[in-house]
Amino acid sequence: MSIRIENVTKNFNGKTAVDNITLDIPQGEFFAFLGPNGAGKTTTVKMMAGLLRPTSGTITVAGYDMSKDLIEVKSMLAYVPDQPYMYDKLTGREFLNFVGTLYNMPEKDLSMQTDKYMELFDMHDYIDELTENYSHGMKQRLILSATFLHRPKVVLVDEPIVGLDPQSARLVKNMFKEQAGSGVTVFMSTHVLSVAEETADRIGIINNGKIVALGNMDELRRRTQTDGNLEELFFHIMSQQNCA
Amino acid sequence: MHNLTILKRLKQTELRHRWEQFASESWIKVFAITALAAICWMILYGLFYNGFKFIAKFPDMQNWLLDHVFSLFFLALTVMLAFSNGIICYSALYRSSEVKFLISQPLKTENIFLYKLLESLAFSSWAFLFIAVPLLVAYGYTNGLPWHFYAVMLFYFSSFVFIPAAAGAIASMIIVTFFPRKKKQILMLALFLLTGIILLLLSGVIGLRSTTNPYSEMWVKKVMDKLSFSRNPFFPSYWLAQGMLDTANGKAASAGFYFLLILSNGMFLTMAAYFLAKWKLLKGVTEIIYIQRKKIYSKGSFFNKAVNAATCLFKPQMRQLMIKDMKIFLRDPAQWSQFLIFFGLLTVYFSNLRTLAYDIQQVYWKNIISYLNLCATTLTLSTFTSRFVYPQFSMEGKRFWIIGMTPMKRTRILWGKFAFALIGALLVSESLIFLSSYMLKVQWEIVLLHSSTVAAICIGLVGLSVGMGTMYPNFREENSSKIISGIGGTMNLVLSLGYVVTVLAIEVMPISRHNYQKYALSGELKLFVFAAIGMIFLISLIVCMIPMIIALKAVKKIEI
Repeated sequence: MSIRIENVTKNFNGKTAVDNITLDIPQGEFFAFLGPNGAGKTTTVKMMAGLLRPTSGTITVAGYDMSKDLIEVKSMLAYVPDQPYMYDKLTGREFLNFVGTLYNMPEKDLSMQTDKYMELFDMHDYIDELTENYSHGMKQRLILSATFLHRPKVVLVDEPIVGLDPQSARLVKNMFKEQAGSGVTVFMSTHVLSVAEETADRIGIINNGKIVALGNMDELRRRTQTDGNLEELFFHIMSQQNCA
Repeated sequence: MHNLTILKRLKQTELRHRWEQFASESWIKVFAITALAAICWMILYGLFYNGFKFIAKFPDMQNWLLDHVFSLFFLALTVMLAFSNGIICYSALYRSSEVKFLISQPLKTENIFLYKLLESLAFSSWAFLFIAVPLLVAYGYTNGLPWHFYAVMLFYFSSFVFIPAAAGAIASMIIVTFFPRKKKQILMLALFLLTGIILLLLSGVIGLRSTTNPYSEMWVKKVMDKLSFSRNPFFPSYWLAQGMLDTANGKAASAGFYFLLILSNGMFLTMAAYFLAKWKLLKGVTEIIYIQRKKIYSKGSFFNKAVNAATCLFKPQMRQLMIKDMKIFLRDPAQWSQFLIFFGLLTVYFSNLRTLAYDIQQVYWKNIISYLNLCATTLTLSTFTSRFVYPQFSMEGKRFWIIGMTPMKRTRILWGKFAFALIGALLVSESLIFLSSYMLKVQWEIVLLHSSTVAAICIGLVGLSVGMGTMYPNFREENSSKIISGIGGTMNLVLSLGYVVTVLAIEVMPISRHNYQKYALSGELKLFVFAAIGMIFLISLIVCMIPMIIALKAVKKIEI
C-alpha cells in the first residue's frame, strides 16, 4: 500500500508546523523520517494517521483520500505514538482485546494473534496485570503488539526504540524490516540515526516544516558530497540549512 | 535553613500560584463556587437553627438532649475525619511522586511527614469546619451566646482536628508498614464493621417502634439511651461536646479542663505519629514501590461473562467501549468510593423510612417526603454526572490515539459513553426511587410520576454532561477533578442544577394537585400526571439532544 503526501501544509494558530511537503512512499518501503525537535515530524505522522487534519493538501493511502475515506484508510493503518499513553486500569490482555475488537477482528483470530505477540514479546509474566504497573519498555511492547494485531498494511511509528532494552530494540528493528519485506509500508519518525541508517530503504529529513533532503544513503552521500555515516550526513545537511 | 521552613516556603509558593490561577479564572466559575458554597452553608444553618429551636421547646429535656445530640454528632464527624485523614495520608505519603522526590532530598523523613500531615489536615478539615461553623452559629444564635463563645470554640476546633488527623495518619502508617499486602482487606473490614455497628444501632431503634409510640417523649428518651455509647468519657468527641456546652453555660473551669484534654491528646497523638514516621515512613514508601503486583485475570472470570451478557444487545465496538469504561470505573477507588458514599447514604436513609415511621404518616406527608426523596436523588445525580460523566471524554485525552486510530466512526465513542452512563444512572436512581416509594407505600400515580421523572432526568443529565464534556475537552489534564473545575465543567454543573430544579418545579404541580384533591384518583389528576410527564420528557430530550448534536459534530473535528 503506497502513501502519497501532496503539498501538505499544517498551521497551528497562524504558525506553520509543516510547510507544503510532498512525499511518495511506495508499498513495502521502510521510510525513515528525521529532523530536529520541533521540525514537524510528529505533526506529519499524526496527519498521516488521521489524528490531525492538514490545513491544505491531500494525503492518500492505497488510493484512498484520507479526508474522504478515513474509515477505509484506518482499517489498513497502524500507529505507534512516541509516548504510549494507555488505559491504566486495563490489563495488557484486555487492552489487546479492546483494540482488536475495535478493528472488527473475529474472536478466534484475535485470540490467536494475542498469543502470537505475547510469545514474541515475552509478555506472559505481566499480560494479566494492570498496565499502570508497566515500565516504559513493557508498555512499548504491548503497543507494538496492538499495532500488528490486525495485520496493518501501513505502519506509522513515532520514536519506537526509546525506552526499549537492547534485546527488545533489536526485536523491533527486525520486526519492522520483516514487515517491510512482506509488503507492509513502514514510516518511522526517529532521532536514533543509527537505527534509521541500519533499517531504512529511504530517508527523509525535515527542518522547519520543509523536506530538506530525501533519498537513500547513496543519494544523500552524493548530495552532500560526504562519505560518512548518516550522523555525519545529517549534521552536514543541518549546518547547510542553518547557514542558508 | 530548617527543613520545615523550606517545606513551608514551598507550600506558600505553590499556594500563591494556585491563588493567582484561581483569581485569573472566569468570574462565572468563582461566582458559581461561592454561590453554591453559600447556599449549602445556609441550608445547613437553617437545618441546625430549626433543630435547636425545636429542642428549645422542651426545656426539661433540653440540656440532656443537647448533650446526647452533640456527643453523637461529633462522634460521627470524628470517625469520618479519621477515615478521610487516613486515606488522604496514605495517598499523600505513599502514592504521591512528591514524597518520593522529597525523600531523595536532604530532608528528614519526619519533617516531610509533618508537612504532609498539615496538608492532609487542611484538606480534610475544611469539611469539618464547613459543617461545624453553621452548627456553632445556629446554637449560639438560638441561645443568645456572646461573641467570645465563638472565639473559644475556634480554639477548641483547631486543637480537636489534630486528634482524628494524627489517628488516621498513624493507622495508615501502621497498615502500610506491617500489613502492606492487606491494605484493601483491612479497609474493607473496617468499613464492614462500621456498617455492621450502624445497622445494629438502627435495628435497635426499629425495635422500639413496637413498644413505644414514635416521636413521643418516651421514644426520644429510649432512642437516646440506645445511642448513649457516644457519651463515653474516653471519646475525644465527648470532650468537644462537653467543652462546647460548658463554654456556653459559663462553666469556665470545666470548659478549660476539656480544652486542655483535647489539646494535650492532640499534641500527644501528633508526636506519636511524628516518631512513627521517623522510624517507619521510609520503610513503608520503599515497601509500596517494590510490592508484588497483583494479577487480574481477564479471561473467563464471572465478572467478564456477566458484563458481556449484560451488554450483548450492543454492537461489538460499542460494547467494548462500554466495558472499557465500566472496568476503568470499577477499578478506580477514587471514582466508585465517592459513588458509594453518595448513593450509599441515600440507600441507607431510604431503607430506614419505615424506621422513622414515615410510612404511617398521612398521604399528604408521604407525598411530600417522596417528592423530597426525588429531589435528593436527582440533585445527587446531577452532581454525580458533573463529577464523573462530564470528564469522561477528556479522560481519553492522551489515549485518544487508541480509539481515534481505529476504523470506527468517532460519534460511536460518544454514544458508547452516553449508553454506559445512562444505564448506570438509570439503574441506581430508579432503584432508589422504587425503594423510597416502596418504603413509603405511596400511590401508583406518584410512583409512575417519580420513576418517569427520574428516567427523563437521567437522559437529560447524561446527554448534557457527555455533550458539554466533548464541547469543552481538556486533553492536557489527567486529573478528572481538575477537568471539571474548568469553565466547561462549571457551566455543566450550573446547567445541570438549573435543569433539575426546573423539572422538579414542574413535578410539584401534580403532587400539589394530588394533595389538594385529598388524594382522590380523579381523571383530572391522571391528566395532570401525564401532562407533567410529557412536559418533563420534552424538556429532557431538548436538554439532552442540543449538546449531543453539537458534540457529535465537534468530535469529528477534534485534533490531538
